[in-house]
Amino acid sequence: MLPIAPIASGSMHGAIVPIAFQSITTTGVYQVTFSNIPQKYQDLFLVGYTRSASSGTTYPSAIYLNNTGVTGWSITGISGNGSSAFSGRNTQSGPTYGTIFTGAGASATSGIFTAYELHLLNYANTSTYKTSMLRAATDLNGSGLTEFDVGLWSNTSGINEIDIQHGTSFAIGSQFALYGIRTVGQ
Amino acid sequence: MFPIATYTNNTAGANYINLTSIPQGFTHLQLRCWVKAYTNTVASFYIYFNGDSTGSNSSSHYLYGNGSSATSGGYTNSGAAIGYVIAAPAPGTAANVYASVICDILDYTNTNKGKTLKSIGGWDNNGSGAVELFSGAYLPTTAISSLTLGCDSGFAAGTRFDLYGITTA
Repeated sequence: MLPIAPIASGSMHGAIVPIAFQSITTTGVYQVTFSNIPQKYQDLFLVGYTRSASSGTTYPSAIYLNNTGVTGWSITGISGNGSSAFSGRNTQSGPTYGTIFTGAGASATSGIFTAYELHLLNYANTSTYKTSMLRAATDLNGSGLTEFDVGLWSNTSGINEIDIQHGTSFAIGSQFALYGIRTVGQ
Repeated sequence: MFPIATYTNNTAGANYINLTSIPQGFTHLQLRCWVKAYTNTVASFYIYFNGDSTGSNSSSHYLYGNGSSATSGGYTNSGAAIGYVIAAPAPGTAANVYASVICDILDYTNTNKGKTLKSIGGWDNNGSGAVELFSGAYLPTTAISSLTLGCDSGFAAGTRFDLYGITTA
């Protein structure tokens, strides 16, 4: 049993701490990088609002950790396209991406961006591999995709860098906010 | 969102972990879970509210993917637990792999409504794994004051739970 001690309102501190924010304001930006991520939180939480400048209604967006590219990544995911549900997998033997989702491309309806959240629990620990959870949503008024992907990065290092790509470059207006999530005592 | 409690399991094979005396001063709860089963290939991780294991008090639905197919199903008055949230990997399956799960319990102190739990969670082990979106209903209108976290094979050491309260204006 773990009885929870009463919390005095005066000692409460918000759990979600903004770490960094980036917004795409020019064309031709291929990669967004959050580096030197503090190792003092329990979890990381990335909120993205993104669109690719690459041709196509949709275009994959990929996220890598610690500047190690595709090495060590595998993924299991589920998605729905408005008519059917799917589950798929990517293994380490043939990863083309890190953790990946389908986002809006340059041919999508003007002004439509993909909204997503990436959770990296226990990101600073150095004894286990890292399990990522990514929830992404794109609707294009008649088409679109809603998906949930769980990735394994087979590396015990603490996560100190997140790299995000979306085709050849991001559309202007894409945004990325990184938060740390504190637990008790942090 | 405010941290309420954190618990790291140091007892390999612990069957249940109880978070009790949950403060009633928040609007919602969020439980963030880093879970590994103790034995078996995979084992179900589940949650009871208020220690209530009455089967007729809960029901659930899920959307599940195993890497090759997506399925949806549910349980009516059949689950002792509010949620069989995810099948967690065990050491024999993946030595360094833990499942990640985030559970939200909205309006948990309200005494006029049943309670709904929603969660996302999953794990991957380079060729195996599962992902799940889950919803569970707890029919009693009792406020939630405790969470009992269970795993069919017990929890492996290193399993961790972080409980948060979410406020409103």
